[in-house]
Amino acid sequence: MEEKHLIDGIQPSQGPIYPEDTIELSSALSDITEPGKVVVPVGGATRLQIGAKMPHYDYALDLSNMNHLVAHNSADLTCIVQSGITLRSLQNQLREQEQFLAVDAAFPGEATIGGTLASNAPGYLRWQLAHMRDMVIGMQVVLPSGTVTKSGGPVVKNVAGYDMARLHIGGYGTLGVISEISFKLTPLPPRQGSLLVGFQSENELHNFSEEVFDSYVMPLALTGMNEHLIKTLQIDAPRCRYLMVIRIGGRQMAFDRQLNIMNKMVEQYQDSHTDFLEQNASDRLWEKIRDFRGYGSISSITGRVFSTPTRLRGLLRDMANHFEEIGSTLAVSIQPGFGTMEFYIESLLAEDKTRPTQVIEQIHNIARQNQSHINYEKLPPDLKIGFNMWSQINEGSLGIMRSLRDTYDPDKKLNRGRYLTDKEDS
Amino acid sequence: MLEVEKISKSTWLNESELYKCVHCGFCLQACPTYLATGLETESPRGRIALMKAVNEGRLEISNQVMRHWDLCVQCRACEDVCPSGVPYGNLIESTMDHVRDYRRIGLLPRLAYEIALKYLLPNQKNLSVLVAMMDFYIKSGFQKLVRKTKILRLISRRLENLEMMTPALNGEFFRADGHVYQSGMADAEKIQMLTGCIMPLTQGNQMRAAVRVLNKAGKDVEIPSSQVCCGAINSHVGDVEKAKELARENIEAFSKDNIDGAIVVASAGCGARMKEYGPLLADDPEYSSKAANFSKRVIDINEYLIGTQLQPGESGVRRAVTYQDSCHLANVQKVRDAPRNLLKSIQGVDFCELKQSNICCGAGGTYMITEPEMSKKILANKMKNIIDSGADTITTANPGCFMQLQNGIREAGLDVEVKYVTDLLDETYTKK
Amino acid sequence: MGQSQSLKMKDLIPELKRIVGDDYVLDDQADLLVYEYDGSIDRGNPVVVVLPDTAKEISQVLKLARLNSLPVVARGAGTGLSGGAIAEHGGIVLSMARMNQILEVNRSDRYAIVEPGVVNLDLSTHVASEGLYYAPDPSSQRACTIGGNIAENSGGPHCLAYGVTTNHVLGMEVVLADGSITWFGDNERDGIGYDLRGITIGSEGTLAIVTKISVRLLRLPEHVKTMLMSFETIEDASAAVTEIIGAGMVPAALEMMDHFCIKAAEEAVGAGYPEGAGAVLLVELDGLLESVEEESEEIEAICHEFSPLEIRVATDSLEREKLWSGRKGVLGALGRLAPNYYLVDGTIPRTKLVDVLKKINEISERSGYPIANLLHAGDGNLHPSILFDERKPGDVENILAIGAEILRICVDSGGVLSGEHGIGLEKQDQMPLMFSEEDMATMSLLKLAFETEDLLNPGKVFPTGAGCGDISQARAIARVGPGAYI
Repeated sequence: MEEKHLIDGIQPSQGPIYPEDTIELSSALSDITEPGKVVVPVGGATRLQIGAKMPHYDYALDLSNMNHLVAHNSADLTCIVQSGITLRSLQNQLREQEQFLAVDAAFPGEATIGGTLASNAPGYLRWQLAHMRDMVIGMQVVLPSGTVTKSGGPVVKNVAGYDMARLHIGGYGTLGVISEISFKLTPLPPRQGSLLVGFQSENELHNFSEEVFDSYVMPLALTGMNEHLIKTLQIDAPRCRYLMVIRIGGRQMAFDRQLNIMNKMVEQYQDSHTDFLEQNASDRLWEKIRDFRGYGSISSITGRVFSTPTRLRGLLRDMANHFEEIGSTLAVSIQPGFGTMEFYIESLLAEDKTRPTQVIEQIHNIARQNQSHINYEKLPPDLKIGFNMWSQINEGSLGIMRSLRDTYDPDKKLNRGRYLTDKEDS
Repeated sequence: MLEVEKISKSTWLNESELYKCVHCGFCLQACPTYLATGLETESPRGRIALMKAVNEGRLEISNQVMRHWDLCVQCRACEDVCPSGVPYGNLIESTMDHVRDYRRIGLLPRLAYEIALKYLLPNQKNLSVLVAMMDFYIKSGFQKLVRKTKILRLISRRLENLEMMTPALNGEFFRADGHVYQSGMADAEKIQMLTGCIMPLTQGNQMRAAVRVLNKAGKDVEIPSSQVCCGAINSHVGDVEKAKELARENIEAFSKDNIDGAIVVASAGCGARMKEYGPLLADDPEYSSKAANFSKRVIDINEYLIGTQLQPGESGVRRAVTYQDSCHLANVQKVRDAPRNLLKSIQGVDFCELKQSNICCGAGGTYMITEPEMSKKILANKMKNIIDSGADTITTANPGCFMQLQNGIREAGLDVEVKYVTDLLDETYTKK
Repeated sequence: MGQSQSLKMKDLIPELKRIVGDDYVLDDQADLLVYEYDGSIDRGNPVVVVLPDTAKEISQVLKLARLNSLPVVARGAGTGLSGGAIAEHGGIVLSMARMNQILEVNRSDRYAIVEPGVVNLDLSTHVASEGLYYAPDPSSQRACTIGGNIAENSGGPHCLAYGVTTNHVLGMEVVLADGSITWFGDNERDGIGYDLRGITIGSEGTLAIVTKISVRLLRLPEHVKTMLMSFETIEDASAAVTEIIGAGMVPAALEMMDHFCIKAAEEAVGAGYPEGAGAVLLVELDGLLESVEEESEEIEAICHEFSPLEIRVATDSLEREKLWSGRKGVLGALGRLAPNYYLVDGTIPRTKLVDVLKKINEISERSGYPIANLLHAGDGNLHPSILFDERKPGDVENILAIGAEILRICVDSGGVLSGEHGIGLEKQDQMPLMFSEEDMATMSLLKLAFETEDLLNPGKVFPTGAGCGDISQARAIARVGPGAYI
């Protein structure tokens, strides 16, 4: 029994399986024929807490031995990897050719590329480089039956057949198990660094972000945070109630120009505080931001918001007001250009359970009012009831999603009861 | 299907031209009737597909088929965007010529049509009589009565439309009387000018303005007396023989004094037709080379003026001006920049581009009379764009466009004036 | 058309007219005939053409189609090159031409909501005054519609740096086969659940009818620089491309044309391409002024390693347009070299350019058919165009065989069957070159998850039977009509 395979306190009844390659992965799945057996694909186990609580599970299909970089065609800026490779191992190998994969996620030493894709893990390299799904050009997937199938390929432009990989990115391993992925890669920028800008008000934070969005600056990453998060992360930003961290990269002249543009913008903000971090310090700061996935206590909450830049304004304001009303605090990390935000609640400090449940309901309401969606990545076990972790989606989409689930995994062999399609199975 | 007539596969059009079309669809967005309807049937590609199908014997010529061909405005904007170089103008003209025998048009409209084309338009004297009657009709006040009571609507929608198209006549006719308008400058170059048939009668003042501007540019302008209609309308409706006849007459009229200078044309449709006399008469042993030479001498007035040393008057004008490309200037003669640059050279002109200025206004020669519904659909979109442009003056380069825009503006109740580019140039000399 | 169906049709037409209006139902023989083609070589006659104006109307049409077991094929501008909009099995063609409104432009959130019939270029023109544009720019962008782009997941010269359609669509309203109307995704850049948006894009109209689209808009670049580099041989040019990509450059566009294309383009538009060059590269860089300058210097330096005949830089938009005019007009201009051409679309890894072009050249020499090469070289997307004369007996069979051979070479070198034109009818029987039975069965299941009755664009994408190249050819020949080649 491995600690990492514990999901919401449940151990796999039949233990883990460690396939070494796609063939073993395929036969592992095809060998499980007994109806009702539940298999959970596991990578680095950094995001297993997400999803509804499963009634039971039987096998942990641990892919950590499928950890090879199969091919790196550096002259073509593409690579093929096994899904169990960790992000750190992959990036280290790509760096030798001065390239990287524009996908980042917390705990890269453990998080696997397969798990990162399957769980649509949040990351910060998204401003300029868009969503990580845009980096995927091909995928090999093993279906619950053990059938090995592929779509796409190691070329950057391809419209032959359905774009099947899309289904598995954010599919939480419910339609098949990702075994290999082809990616397009990005050259490492020769120069990198980060600008830190502190503000006194939420409004200034939004305005500044909008200005950057509107300018010719193309940040690699941009995130804002409120003072609770600044404090938690112990970032040295004195007197700032809000902090914006902008990561830029490029060739020397382009880099300098972007920095200049932003420094000029900052001048209009009174009492703003700026700081510039060179590459190493910048990298360390981003690691700190990236690896914060919420507070450690059992009663802590981590939520993820999907929205648009302007809707985020209203949403953040409403949430902050609400937390002031209930006398609780909320740490926030916000990526306005991409329209996403995460919030972290250390504890709701309630004697009775009703109030925390109400708070969660209220947050969902605030999201609805601001036309946004909230997904919980971490809820205290006693608050994780039914499917309240998953954001609501429209009936039409849910209908098709259920149909997909029934089509590709009719026995619900994979992750039964965990995903938003499986409401009736928990 | 009604009144189908069988046609055997024939070479009524040039197959190698026809099959250049690879149906890529690039022409759709250039076609005013496609834009107005969204129907593939009313697109150049669709019309060519019907030609191919008929040519291959897969389809018989029916009223429905002819309908789609008839609805073509023949603006030839599709030719301009065609990557394969399909000579659509030739194809549709051959087709219109071919289907004349398949038509079952009522006697009366057919008669009116024949009279207008064979008798009235080619001969200015006859047309003068008609226009004089129209003039009376307008000035007598009878027009107001008719418009007010909408009595014509009861008689025929088409007739009413013809009535609405009655041009706002202004000033005296401009006559092709052999007169030479002198610039009064020493060493002035002598050029010739085509009057066309509609413009001198309906827009005599504008013609005179054009001549004055040419004079200002240092040109003596001769108006040869025996000139006739250019024949454009005849070829559009498929009467190629009549068009050829008129072309031969004009070639003679403009070569009388052995002048080989420029033949300046203020009406884009006429210019386009005359620039293509060469191909039109290519099979005529006597006229083929004469026609080719003649065509080389033909030049649009905007194109001509931009090549002169013309200086607009210092007083300038004060107008927000936009420009509607006349199809046969832009798409056939490929003249787009000259009128714009002339406008921009005038002091006080605030030039703004018209959205979709390259899309036809729906005038299309006789199209506005023969296809009033479609013509109005196309025109409605044009009016929207004119409003959006914010201009108080819209300029264009062809009498048909001029009249169509005037009508559209009147019906939409817009406060916008229609002018030729030469009108505005002329204003810079006359206005204090 | 069987008689029982004709009888049904009799009742169907008035029903359809009731839904969309009399003027927007076409069933005259002549009218149907102009909906039998798209931009490809294929043909198929619908039994009726319907032009709806709203999703609600489409929903009603689909319900009616289901009752009558009639296939439904959505059609944008009909510029597709793989037969996606062809009513292969009769049925209803659903023309989206009337649904052409730009419904919303949200500058702060950088998205626009458009109807599927909006013409690609019109959207960029519309938002240009806001300093924005829509990045995917297929060569047919003046005519093709965003809805059609979604069906085919279209690319374009500038997708090298900015990605293809799927990278620019945030969400869409769809009508499902059962007539229900829903949204896949919305205006958010990220979301939860299966990516239904992503799976529908590129599904060639087989999964759902798209009725509203939310697209991502980009900021117009500060600076654009276009360079034309000519080389003695196509090998030199290809090697330069491989080197540029290998050095980590991602230009906005990186196009290549061989000597056939140069000659044709020069005759047609006089773009000023140098005579005697074996190939030219058209490189466009855009973005921050400084990065454009820095990258263009590096690219020039790389090109100098391959002894270019000339490097020309466009300094203003007029010159830029002139350089592009040759590239944009080249396809039509090929008509000057031969009466017909057959354009093949495949993608290969960019490191294989020299190799594959050499093999294509060998085929050309062996077969005696000239092959003009036009490439979106930057992303390895080839468009070899086989020149032929349809009137010569045997030419059609031969060029189709050559096309299939070229695609096999692409797949064998690690590439794929189609870079941007789609599978449709054209390549459905070549799918086994690239995909196993299991792969294709897995894809077919997707269609089943969306609808079980196979009403939406049936008979596309997947092989129709034996999955053998010869059958594909025979079918293609049977479908081909005179002059119907691109």
